[in-house]
Amino acid sequence: MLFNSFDFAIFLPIIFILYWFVFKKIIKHQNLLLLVASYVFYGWWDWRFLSLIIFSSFIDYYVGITLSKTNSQHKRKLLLLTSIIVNLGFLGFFKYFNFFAESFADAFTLLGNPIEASRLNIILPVGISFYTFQTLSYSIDVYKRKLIPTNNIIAFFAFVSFFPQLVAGPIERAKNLLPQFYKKRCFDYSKAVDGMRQILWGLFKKIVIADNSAEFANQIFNNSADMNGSTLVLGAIFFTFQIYGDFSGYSDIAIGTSRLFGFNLMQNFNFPYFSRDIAEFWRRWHISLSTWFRDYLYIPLGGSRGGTLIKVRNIFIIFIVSGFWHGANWTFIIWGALNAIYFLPLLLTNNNRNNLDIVASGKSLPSFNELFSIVLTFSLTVFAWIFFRADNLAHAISYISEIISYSFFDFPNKLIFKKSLTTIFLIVLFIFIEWIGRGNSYGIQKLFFYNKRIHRYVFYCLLIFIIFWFGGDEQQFIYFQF
Amino acid sequence: MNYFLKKLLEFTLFFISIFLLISISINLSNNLILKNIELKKNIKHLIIGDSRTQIFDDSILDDCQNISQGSESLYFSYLKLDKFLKSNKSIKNVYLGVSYHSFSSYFDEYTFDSNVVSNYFFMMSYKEKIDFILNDDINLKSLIKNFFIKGVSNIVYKKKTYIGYSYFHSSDQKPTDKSIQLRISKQFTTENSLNYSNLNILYFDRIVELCSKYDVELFILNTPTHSLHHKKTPKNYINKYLDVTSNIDNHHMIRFDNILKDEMFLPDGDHINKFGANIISYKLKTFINNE
Repeated sequence: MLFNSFDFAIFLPIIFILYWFVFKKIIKHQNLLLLVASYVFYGWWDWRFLSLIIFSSFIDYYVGITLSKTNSQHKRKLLLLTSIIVNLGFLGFFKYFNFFAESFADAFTLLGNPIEASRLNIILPVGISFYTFQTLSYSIDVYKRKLIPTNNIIAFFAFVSFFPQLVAGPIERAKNLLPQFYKKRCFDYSKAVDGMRQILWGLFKKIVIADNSAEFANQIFNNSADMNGSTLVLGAIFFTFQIYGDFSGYSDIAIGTSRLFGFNLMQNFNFPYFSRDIAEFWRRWHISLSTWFRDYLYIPLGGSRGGTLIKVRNIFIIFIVSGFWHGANWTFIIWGALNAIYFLPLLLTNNNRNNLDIVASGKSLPSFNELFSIVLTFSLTVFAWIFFRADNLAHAISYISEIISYSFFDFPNKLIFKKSLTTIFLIVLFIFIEWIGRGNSYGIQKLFFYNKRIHRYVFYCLLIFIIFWFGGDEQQFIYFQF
Repeated sequence: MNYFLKKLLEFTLFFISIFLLISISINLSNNLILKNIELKKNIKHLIIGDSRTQIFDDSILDDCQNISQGSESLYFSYLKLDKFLKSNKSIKNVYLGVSYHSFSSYFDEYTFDSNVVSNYFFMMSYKEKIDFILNDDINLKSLIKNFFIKGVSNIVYKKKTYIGYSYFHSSDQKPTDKSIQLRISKQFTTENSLNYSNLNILYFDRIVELCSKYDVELFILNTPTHSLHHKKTPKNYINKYLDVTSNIDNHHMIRFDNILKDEMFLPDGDHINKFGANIISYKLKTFINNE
């Protein structure tokens, strides 16, 4: 079920009413409702894959319970290994089997022994990368004795499959989300209103910014061989806004929806395109994944302690794994490696924590230096996104080659440029609103907050009108495929 | 919780009120415009139909106005005639564009195309409007969008979306076997099967009755097509056309066969280019003057 679909517009109020009016007295009933609703939400796409979530939840629940009952380090390790093998096994099979099979075949061909790769016709279960990481975090935290394992099976199953963030995050840590299933939830008016506002902003990002940008990004990337350099730059910029609007829009809707049910999810995006360097960008982009890798991979590897070589190794590992998490394609690996290359100079010169505050805090406009840094960081990001969006490495290379040719100085394709003017205007409006709201959790959180109610209502009506009027063709959320 | 629901309801009502206020204003303004709208003064001849009859240049035809519009089905032509025959008593002759493809179900796609429907939306009764809104084939989002765009356009501009005008398309390309076949396939086959438009057949009869009611002479204009297009037109459709129009006597069936050369057609073989349009406009002028 898509957040921007009619089905969800019916589904959400039904669950909301049942949750607060029918099941509100007993927390167990509320959790059960959330569990059933989550399975319906997921099964709407393909009910067969529900078995994977149930199996994965069951394994981790069992591992958690058993871990609490044993002190034998050997047995504990074995249990953790079981959880890791089952979860990553599913992920590896469904997501990476074909990639590895083909890569092995290519490697053999390169060595002069051509073999035929046997491909499996597998459908990638939606959201598998998200719930796998969420449930893994539970097992690891219990193993490390950072979290007391739960014996509340309904709460645990509901935590793994919590529908607002099931298919595209934020990837919640068990420490944060699971305890919320134990506590009685009381309806909080301001939280619910804030949730509604965040849902509205998320829909704007997805339907207006992402879907409109997608139209031109797809047109340019799919016909890149016929486009000049400046049009290709335009295509990369459109994709930059498409992916941000798409993914952060989803996160906003997920966080807002959770707030309607009394849950707090972690912030997943914090105005990343206003970052002044790549380190800041990665503190603001897909925060739930970055911190997951930091906590469960980077720090166990030694983090930034140790010699230069160790630091370089760790940075490359975390970024390449992060790229590979997105998809079984070399383009994602290069995208990750490129970000590692961007990041390393900052780390090695101890400048990776220079920009921890909000850019141009307390001012309307950034200084020249800040603006220059923002534009430079944004350009590096746009360049990296080319690899992320390209069909394959050859496509990315030919795309970039054309950009760095003389045709870069030509005027962009007139037809595309003319058609995209409305989208460009909407993106500028979007950047303006995001800039104003950059000190908050999301763009419109405090916009007109202190004005009269009528002003806020007019503004929200205007947003709904823009969503309706300028909404692009309905597109699948990009991150569903990860 | 109750306070939240109250506020949510308050905002929803606020939003709906604004939406309704704007919609009703647009609708009322358009109704007012439609009530007072007049065609050219003292016209005797009215040409009505789709893009094929749009090519008749009414500037060279005496006391005549062409209100044809691209993709206009007979249902919408009926709505227009019902309105204009009532308020323009000077009209004596109506020249209605009806061709073989008019009775093909391919035309129904246009009847329920929100972009087309919205042109005539303000002419419809409330019941018809609701029927269209509730119709499964209608893209409601697009219809609402077009309702606002065209409603405001009718208020601001002199040219109204429902009236129509003389117009011809132009193209540098010549008709080919392939381009004509493409057109034939589109017009006469739906998923490889032949189907008729019951709606257009019904409204053809209603137009006949309407003209009779207002004592107006009805002439059927079947504009010529490229020889290959004519050859490829399935016989069933020609027979259907003859069957539906059988009550119209020969004198009232106007055709301009064997007048235009094949190069006087657009690539689809179905529409006439500006040279052909000029020739048959003068032919119609002669016909009208002899009436």
